[in-house]
Amino acid sequence: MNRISLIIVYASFAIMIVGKFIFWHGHPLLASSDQAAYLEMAELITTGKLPYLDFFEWNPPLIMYLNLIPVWLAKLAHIPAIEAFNYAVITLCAFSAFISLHIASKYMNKQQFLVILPLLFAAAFFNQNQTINIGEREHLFVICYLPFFILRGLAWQGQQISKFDAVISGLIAGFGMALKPQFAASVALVELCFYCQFKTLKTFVRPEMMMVLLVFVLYIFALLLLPPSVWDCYLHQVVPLYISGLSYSSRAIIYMLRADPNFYIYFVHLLVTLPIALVYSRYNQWIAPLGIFSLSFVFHYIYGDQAWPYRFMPMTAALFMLDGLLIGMLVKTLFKRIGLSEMTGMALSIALFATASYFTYNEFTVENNNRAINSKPFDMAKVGYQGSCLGSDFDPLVFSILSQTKIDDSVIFIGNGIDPGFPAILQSGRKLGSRYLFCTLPYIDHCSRQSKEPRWSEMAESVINNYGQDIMKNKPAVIFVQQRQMDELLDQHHFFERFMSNYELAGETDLYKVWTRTGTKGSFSGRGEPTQIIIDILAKRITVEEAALESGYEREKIERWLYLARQALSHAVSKHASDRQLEIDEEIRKLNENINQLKIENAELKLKLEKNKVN
Amino acid sequence: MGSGSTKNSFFLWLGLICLAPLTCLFLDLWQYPRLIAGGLAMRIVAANLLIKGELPYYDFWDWSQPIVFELLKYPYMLCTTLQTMQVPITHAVFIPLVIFGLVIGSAILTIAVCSQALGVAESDSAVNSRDSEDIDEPNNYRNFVISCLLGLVLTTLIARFDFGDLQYLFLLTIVPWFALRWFAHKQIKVQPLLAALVGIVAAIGACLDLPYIFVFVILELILSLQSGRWRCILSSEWLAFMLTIAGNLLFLSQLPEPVHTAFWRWSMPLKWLNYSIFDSMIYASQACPNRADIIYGMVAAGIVSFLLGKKYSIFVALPSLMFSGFALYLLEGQGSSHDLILTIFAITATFVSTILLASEKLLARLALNSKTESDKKPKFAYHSIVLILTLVSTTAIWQALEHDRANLQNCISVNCSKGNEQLETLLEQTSKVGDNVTVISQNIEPAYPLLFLSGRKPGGYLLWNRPLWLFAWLKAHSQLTGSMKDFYDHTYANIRSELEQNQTKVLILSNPEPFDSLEHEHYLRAIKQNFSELGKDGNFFSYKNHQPREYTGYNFAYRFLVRRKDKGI
Repeated sequence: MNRISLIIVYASFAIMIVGKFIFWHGHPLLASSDQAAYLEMAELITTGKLPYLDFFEWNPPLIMYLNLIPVWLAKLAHIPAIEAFNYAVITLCAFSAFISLHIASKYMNKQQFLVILPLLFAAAFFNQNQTINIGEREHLFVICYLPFFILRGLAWQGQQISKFDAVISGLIAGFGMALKPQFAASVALVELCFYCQFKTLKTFVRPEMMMVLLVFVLYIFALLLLPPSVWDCYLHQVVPLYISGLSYSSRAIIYMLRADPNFYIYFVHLLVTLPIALVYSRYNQWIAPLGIFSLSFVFHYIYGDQAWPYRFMPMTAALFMLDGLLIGMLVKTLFKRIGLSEMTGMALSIALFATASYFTYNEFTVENNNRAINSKPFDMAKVGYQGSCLGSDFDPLVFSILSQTKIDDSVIFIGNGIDPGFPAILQSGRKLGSRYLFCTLPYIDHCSRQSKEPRWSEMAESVINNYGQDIMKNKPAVIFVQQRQMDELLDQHHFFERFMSNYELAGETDLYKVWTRTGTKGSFSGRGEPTQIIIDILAKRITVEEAALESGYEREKIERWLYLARQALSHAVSKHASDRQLEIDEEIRKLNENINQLKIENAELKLKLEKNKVN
Repeated sequence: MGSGSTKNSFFLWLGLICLAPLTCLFLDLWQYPRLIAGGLAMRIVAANLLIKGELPYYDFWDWSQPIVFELLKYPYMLCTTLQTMQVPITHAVFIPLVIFGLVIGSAILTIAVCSQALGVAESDSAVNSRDSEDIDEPNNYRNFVISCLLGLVLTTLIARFDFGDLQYLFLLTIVPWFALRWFAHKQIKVQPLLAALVGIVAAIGACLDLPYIFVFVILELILSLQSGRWRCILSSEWLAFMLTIAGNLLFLSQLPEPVHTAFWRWSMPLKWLNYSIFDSMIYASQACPNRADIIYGMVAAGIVSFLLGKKYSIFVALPSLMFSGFALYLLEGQGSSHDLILTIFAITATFVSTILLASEKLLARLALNSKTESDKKPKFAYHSIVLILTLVSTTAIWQALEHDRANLQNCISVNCSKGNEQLETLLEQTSKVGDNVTVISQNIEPAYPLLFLSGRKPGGYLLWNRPLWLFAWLKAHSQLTGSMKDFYDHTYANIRSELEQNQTKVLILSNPEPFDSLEHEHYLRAIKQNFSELGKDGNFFSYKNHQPREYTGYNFAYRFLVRRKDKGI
């Protein structure tokens, strides 16, 4: 492939990546449940909390610690953690795509590179076009594994590869593989397949393999450094519950395969691509490893026994790569047949460029249409950030949280799954009011139904007590309780009588009940009273925009009052604060009480109004 | 392969080896004659109704193709004739025996195809060496033949609990075809007459159900892509196949009214609808049989195929059947084991082939080490391995069948000891042989084989009640219009007459009832007027939704309603 063609190929990759950055810039708070939960866990780790002990989770901890990167980046740039996370994943995608391209172009001969190019493009396309599953562990694994896969394929062919490339690829792949133990098993199968094709043991001993090993060793070492109490909690509570309780959420196999298009389209893809790939596997040594890789994830998915489509994501990624590879082989053969072999590179690069441009343009068009439909953008000041985003990016629970809480309030969602508590709590910029991101009671209940061992009832009681402690300690402004099973389980343990005496039922939907804290319910109440408005703004209970919207005063006027109030306060505090501290504190306390009382009344009136509307 | 006599002895030996699983299957059928697939039982009942002059789809309903009823009609009539000649045999025993004969027939047809093909390959290789793709063709051919045959006979035993179901019969027809086409793409042709016979048999298999024809298309496509010999399709077997399919289509197009309308405008659109929607009752983990074992087997067979497919073409051809079978399973969307029979065959044949290949390599290495001159020892060892493999697998399958049966029996005993009643017991208490019994349930089981084996007659128009659920879906989506509305009216009119008139003596209602919301109240009222509650519910006990008793959706106890005496017979 000549230089110009290669530049066009790089440009086509760049177009896709830039397009994605622009897309995610327009969706700073768009996140799915798992990713949001892990970001929240990373946030908790930054406050000194320990996994399993201080917050519940049953997956290995690497993902939580990896999420520290976007959390720190978000704090540095003062952007939402979700936005930083999405940028970080796209950056990783870009890095993976470019390094794979670099390795392929550097070590492959022209013919081989032309065949593999659509594979790389398909992989990059697949990785960057994840919206719901962006940053899921399976997605991160696929991204991290791509350069390693290309490099290993070349290594098996006997190519001399620079140590730098090997170390970089191995390092990233190691992190990807360490996310879940089964990822390493799939990679081992791929290596076995390469071995069956090339039959040289020495290829196993190479720098990239050493790097993978090193990452695993360091990870295990880091795990051992965790306090014994964490291990104790993990081994004696998390693991037993995981082993016995996860079947609570298992689904029928046929449901996992074809309940709706989110499932069956990918399995139809498998059934179309794999037989064709098998036919052509004798012409290209990359086909068999990819086929085996995709099949291994069918196994993982079925073995996992949960209808979570992200779990077969690597299967789909491998199928995309196989499609790309088969297209590459077809293009090469066609051009050879018509005697235009020399033109293959140029034609392919232009085709990739056109494809990347088309999809990016198409996405922008869809985006613009979406924005045109969403007449009123959401003001991110409500969740503590600048700018605006689409209201459709939010889980509907967010609006309920926003209407019931203030910016510094904490919230608990007691439900059997991560969703909708997460992403809603993270999107709303509120704090998590409990150590449980999702409630484990249904899982424990499931275990106790299966075996009548007393440890399950003890565990259930411990969870109830933990919730109680968290409520007393964090005083969450609102607690959402999932309807039906969860409500009943909590009731069985007299949870509401024991720990929710300070809460009152503020409303309910088909999915959950809303309990708000008595006496502290936060909602803006300063209708028309400038002093009250300014106090609320200074207390960060409300933004200037919200105050303008609700009171009807002009924004400029409120800003002017705010300026004057700050001046006056600064003057007062600098001169006399030390003398009158107690008096001021008492005054603020009384004012706060008044505000809260008014807010409660206001919220009740709102609720009545809503109920009347519904009726 | 060696000389003609060696070839014959090879096939004789292979036939003998196949006897082990076939004998087991026969013994099992003999020992447990009541264990037949629900689908087969229902279709036998339908064939009986057909013989009595009732119109399929209009007077009784099941969406099987007419050819299925026609094919079952003849053995049914033959059995009736035998009965009139005082031969002590029942339909429940005779028809499974006929199907067992088909199993043997399929194995013989496969052997005939393979035997001829190997003969041709032998004579061809003696004249001119073919442009060899496989590294060791004669051995590969031999492995292919053994894999196909053992795969077939072992699968017929593995799928014992689905004995006689549509995909089971389809398997019997496709295996000889598979062997024939595999050899054809190696440019090895058999006698045109035999090829045409295989083509006709395969076409009959393709006509058994709507999607089966696509399996043939996919198989041919993959074989053609692999061999690059597209002209192979111009063959006597394909001609016979196409002519048979055309004949069937002609037959279907000439169905008399109102069967024509009921088939083309009612039943087939409903069947397509069933493929396109998913049953919302299948959700929880035991809402369908957990056949993860087969999916794991498919993954393992797929991995083996990717590892070995480069050198051995059987590992490309078999996965096409495996994935086609899996596509059928997805399409049916019920998660039942009987939708996986083709996949089971492909997996079994792949594993057999892998073991044979591994043992061959091992023996070759051993022979090389021992530097033996004679090839008799490795051949003997190879034959011994095949024999051991067959015996071990047969025993394991036999044990697994026994284990499944024992688990079910245990489950039934435990439940009965708790005072729960079985469907069979209540049916015997409330009705006698020859009575009309209506079971309103979404699935074929448990109504069949229960009604068939107990000698009760189906009381209603619908032999099974999936249409009621599909009607409810259509209604909910405002699509119950045109011919579907006619079908709906026809069905509910029949149900009404069943309930209000004196045909049905016992009504067995599944929970939840599949009546749609509008009809629900009306029919429950009609039921209340004409039937009285037995006061006991009948259970279709199943051990963890394993075979031999599978279900989809819920498996709550069935309500038993007996016709009021003042309204009844």
